[in-house]
Amino acid sequence: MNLAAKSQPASQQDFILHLNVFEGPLDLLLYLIEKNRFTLESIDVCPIIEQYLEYIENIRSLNISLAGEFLEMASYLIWLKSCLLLPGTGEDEQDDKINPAEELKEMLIAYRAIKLASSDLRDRPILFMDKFPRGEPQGGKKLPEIGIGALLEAINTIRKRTRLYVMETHSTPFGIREMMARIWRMLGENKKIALNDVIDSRTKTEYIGTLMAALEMSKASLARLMQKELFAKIYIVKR
Amino acid sequence: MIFCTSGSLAVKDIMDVLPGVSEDRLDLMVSDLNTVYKESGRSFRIDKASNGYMFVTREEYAPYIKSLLPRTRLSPASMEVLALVAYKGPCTKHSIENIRGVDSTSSLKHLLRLKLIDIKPGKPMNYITTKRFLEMFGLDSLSDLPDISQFEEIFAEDDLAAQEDNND
Repeated sequence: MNLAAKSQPASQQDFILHLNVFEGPLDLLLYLIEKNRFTLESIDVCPIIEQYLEYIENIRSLNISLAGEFLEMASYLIWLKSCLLLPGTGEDEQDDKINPAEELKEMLIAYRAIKLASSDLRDRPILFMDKFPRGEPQGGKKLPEIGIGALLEAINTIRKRTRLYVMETHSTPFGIREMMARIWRMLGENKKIALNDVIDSRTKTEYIGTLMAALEMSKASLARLMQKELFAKIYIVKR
Repeated sequence: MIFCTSGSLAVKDIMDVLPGVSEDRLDLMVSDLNTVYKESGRSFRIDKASNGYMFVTREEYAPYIKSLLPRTRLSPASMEVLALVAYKGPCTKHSIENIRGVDSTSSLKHLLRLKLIDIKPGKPMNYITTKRFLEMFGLDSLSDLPDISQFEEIFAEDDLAAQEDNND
């Protein structure tokens, strides 16, 4: 495959044919390493990086969309190349010994092992693909075994279907108007009352209702709300 | 008994009906049956997987049967993810994507749908292979899989071969 000859349609076609074969950037790198007849032990990283980047460029010039991971790898490789080209600082000799190419090598070894394992797995005769069991007898439907994955998928399906938001409505024991009336009555006896005194049971709903009632009264200029400082008691005062 | 069962017949269930027959003896009997089937040119045999026996068709006949049934597809990407879960399971989506270097969402969804993997209860979300996986790939348990270091070693052998080629 001649990556350099962009102008020749034959090699471009050849190029396109090869595109879908790669599962990802690591796959492409392994291909390039093999093509260059390197071994992972004695890999010459720089030419591999060059070829990888050239490959990516070719794809982009053909306006074919690339998975993001290929581009991420490209920028990682550019960084790696610059690491290798820069001379060592000399101060921290120990740190320089950690060859950044080692990280890449490890990734490639790990991926290659899985690739081989998966093709070994695929080579086994697989039920429903290479060998087939007896068909299900008519009648007597078995309940399928449900795994967690299936349950989650079912929940997702239901969620997507019913795009209704279920609102929980609590019935309030007091309407705001009634609360306002109550506060007004209490203000009739005492010009200044504490918000806490208005409330019977200490439910959250009641607190909120009472506060809202007080605010409404304040808005209607029926009362004033006073609070000395943050988190201090709130007082309702008749106007 | 195996013939009457849809799917596979668990060894335990056989032993319930036929107490006093050891598992080894069962294996021998099945092996004998298979020899008879092979010699008489039968198109099937009895396979053992996931601690159960089932009748299966011989691989030669797959092309004919495939056209009858809906296809089960396993792309190379799905196979890679499956191998990862089998060898390194339980594992997270994150660790899968770290090793493969690509997004593995669609493969995971596909494998979940095929019931080859499932989600292990607990946090973080881990994937594991299922009994169906064992059944489909003819394994009794995950330890029947070859050792993964073997695949790292194979690489070394290829390396040696390549090095020799380079030296020529």
